Amino acid sequence: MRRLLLKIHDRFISLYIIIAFFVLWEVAPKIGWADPNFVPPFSRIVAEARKLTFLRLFIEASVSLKRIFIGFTAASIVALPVGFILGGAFPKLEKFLKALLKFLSQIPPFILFPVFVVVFGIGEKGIYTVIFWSAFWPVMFTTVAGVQGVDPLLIKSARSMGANNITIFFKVIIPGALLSIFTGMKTAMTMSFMMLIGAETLGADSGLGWLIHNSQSMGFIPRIYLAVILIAGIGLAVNYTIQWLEENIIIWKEAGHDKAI
Amino acid sequence: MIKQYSYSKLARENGETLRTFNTDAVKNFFKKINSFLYGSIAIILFFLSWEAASNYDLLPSSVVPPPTRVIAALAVSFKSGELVYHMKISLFRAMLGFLLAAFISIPMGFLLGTFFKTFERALLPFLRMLEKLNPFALFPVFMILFGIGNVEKIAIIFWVAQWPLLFNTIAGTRSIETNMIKAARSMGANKKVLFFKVILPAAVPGIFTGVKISAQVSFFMIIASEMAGSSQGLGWYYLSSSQSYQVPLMYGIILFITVLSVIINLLFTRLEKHFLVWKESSFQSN
Amino acid sequence: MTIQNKIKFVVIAVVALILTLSISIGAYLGRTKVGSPSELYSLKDNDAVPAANSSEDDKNLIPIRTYTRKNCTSTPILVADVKGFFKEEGLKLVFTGELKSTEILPSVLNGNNDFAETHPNALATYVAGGAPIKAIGRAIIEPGPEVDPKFRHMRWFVRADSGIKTWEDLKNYKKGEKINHNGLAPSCTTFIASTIFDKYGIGRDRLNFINFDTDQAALQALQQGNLDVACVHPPFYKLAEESGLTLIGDSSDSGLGEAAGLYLYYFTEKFIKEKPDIVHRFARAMQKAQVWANSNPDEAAKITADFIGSNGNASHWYATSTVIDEEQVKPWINDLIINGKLKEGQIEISDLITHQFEVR
Repeated sequence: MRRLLLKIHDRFISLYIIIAFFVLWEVAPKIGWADPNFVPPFSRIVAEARKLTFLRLFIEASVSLKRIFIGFTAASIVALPVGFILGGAFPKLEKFLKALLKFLSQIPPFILFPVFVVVFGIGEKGIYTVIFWSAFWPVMFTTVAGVQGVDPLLIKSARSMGANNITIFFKVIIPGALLSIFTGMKTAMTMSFMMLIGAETLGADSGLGWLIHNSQSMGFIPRIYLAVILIAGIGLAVNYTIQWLEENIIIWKEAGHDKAI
Repeated sequence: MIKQYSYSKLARENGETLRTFNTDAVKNFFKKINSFLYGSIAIILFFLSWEAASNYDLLPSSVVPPPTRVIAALAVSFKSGELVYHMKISLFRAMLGFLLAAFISIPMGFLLGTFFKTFERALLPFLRMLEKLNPFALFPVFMILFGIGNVEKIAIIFWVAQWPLLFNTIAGTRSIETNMIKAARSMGANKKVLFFKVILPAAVPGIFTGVKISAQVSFFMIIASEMAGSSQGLGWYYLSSSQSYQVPLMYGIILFITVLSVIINLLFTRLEKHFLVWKESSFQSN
Repeated sequence: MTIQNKIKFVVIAVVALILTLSISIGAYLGRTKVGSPSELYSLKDNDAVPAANSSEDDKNLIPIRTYTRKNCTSTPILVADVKGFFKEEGLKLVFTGELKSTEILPSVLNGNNDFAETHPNALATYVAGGAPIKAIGRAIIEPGPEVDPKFRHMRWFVRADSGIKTWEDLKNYKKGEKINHNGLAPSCTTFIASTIFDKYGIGRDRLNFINFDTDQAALQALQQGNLDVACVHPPFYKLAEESGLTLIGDSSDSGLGEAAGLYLYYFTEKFIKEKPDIVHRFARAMQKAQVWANSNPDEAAKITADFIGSNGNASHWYATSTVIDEEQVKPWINDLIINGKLKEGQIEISDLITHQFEVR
């Protein structure tokens, strides 16, 4: 019995703090540690969620997710081939473009908003472009790094076994670069979610980022917190999904190789 | 290397007055300039095509002005001192927030990574959750808690800068092979020696990766946070120039911010590489 | 793959499919609605849909596009749509989605939107920066003293405990230091505030303008002590009063008369050249709507509130004739010259406005 309890306790240890946090959030405004007008107790946020109806929230979340996925997928579709080509096929070109690309990637996306609006127009196109821009650079750079990081010995031995370029590409390079690529994708996802809030000011009237702006200008403070929590939660879920995909696809990763948390 | 040694040694032995030239160093220097120039060609081409596109109206020049006008506007702003003024403010805020985060998060990371394992297991998911909170969305919260002005901006930078530092420090301390710790212990090392001579050096590469990411994030965020609740700083300067529709200046500020960002990136990458030296060798032995 | 792995795979594939489907449906339902306010009206489950346009005649109407506004500037446009003034002129209003203030001009320049409005000082900087636009008529103006003060363009509030009751009190407040005020130059807030400060002897150089995204954020900052004075527009008058803030003055104190509220509609020069007929119709429709809004302020406010979804009850005061009096534009330009944003003689009024579409 005792061992079972200990086991449960072990599993839940990480949850304790989270629960404590939410309890604190509920209590603090009520006992005056925080101004309830500006930091509403957690129960009010839940009530607001119920008022907005789960359906409405689901719709807003879906819109935001759709935008992220389209932007992210478009970015990957362009960045992966570009990364492979630059990393593997044309190393000279990569050296040539490297400085320029690094330079462009450092431009903060939110600063480019007016430029995007002018060139791509408002509405969905503008939003997709922002997400595309944010996601493109991490994926491309990590793909290049991944391809370049493949042990040349592996390539040489594959060639000595008579493999042609295509086989080498699919059986040596892609698996070798995959780890790096997945890291890049996780970063790209994080950046996309970060930029989502700003992006949804470019001519939208729906979405979680829009909800934050709208609630801010209307003064519906509980909604702000609600939207923030939702975005964080969904972002976390998407990240875990990618992590799970990575663990299941890269089954050859040596145990203990990757000590990052 | 051998060539250099023998050349200068020979020269000295023969009593020749050498112009103290290290041929290899010179060669390296030229190589670096070469690759620098090679890389800049693309950038120069980019600016040239931008100039052409704007001047020949492929891009409407009232909306996307040619780089010559942009740089001219930037130069005017520089001469008047405005640009430097705002840059100093932004950099000051970012640096302070970053240093504060470093002083707190790196020791925290060590503590959590080495001595308080259970505590760390309890806190980590929670901290991860906090990290994922979108900092943009937290701006209004920070404004409520800290007001506006330097304190609030530094608080925002502190918040975003601490996560990479914390997590990378923890990862750095965890990446030590247990064999090394066991070996040190078996040689009679106490906790203090263990920490300073084994754990710390092994964690340093991880820490500096965190430092690099943190520095970049700090600069990124200070610009973003200065776009609301501000009356100075590069972010505000950008907004003000866009509000008064001074388009060349606006693009100039974009360029300036990008260049600063690149410089920070280069500096800290260099720093990271410098400390990565012994990580490389242990990695290969894996 | 073992059987277990296969089952796992299938289950996950099905879950993923369901998720994708539901997200797609949700996204479709939530897509940005582009349409006329009356259409958007009925989508908002509002049973008090006034005499809305029926969709059959709509086919013959020419669309005229602008960004979706969820603030007080939307009133005459909403009125023109809901009360059928646009329809009378053969136009159909189309809202294309919300934008941040820095994105409005680009959206007009690249044709996403046909018109927008702005104050004369912003207009001057746009034109000086090379934007090919022209103002064609007046929208909002400052009402005269005979009209209820609640229609005035802006009001200034301070905290109740600051001890400030009038403009004169500000002269000695925080002597030697800057006074924190919301706003980002050039805008109506910064222009009128500077004018008032000069007029009452406080001096515009004591003003430190801090940028906020919304009036409401500015009120919050004021309450927390981060601002000394906050200037807000009509939808927030009620909120400011209910928060216990003290009113110390409004835009009429600037002594500029009607000019204190001057807000102008603008189109691109290309649009004006290619479709002057539509601009004429637009001007006529807006004039009728503005006259109506001035005569029926409560109903106009209700229409606005219903669309925005708030219970704000405030409106602006509108020009009953869209004629642009150049004298009213001059103070806005002069302010820019004083602040060094424009050089003397850099802009002529004729660069900014055209009288050809005015409706008396």
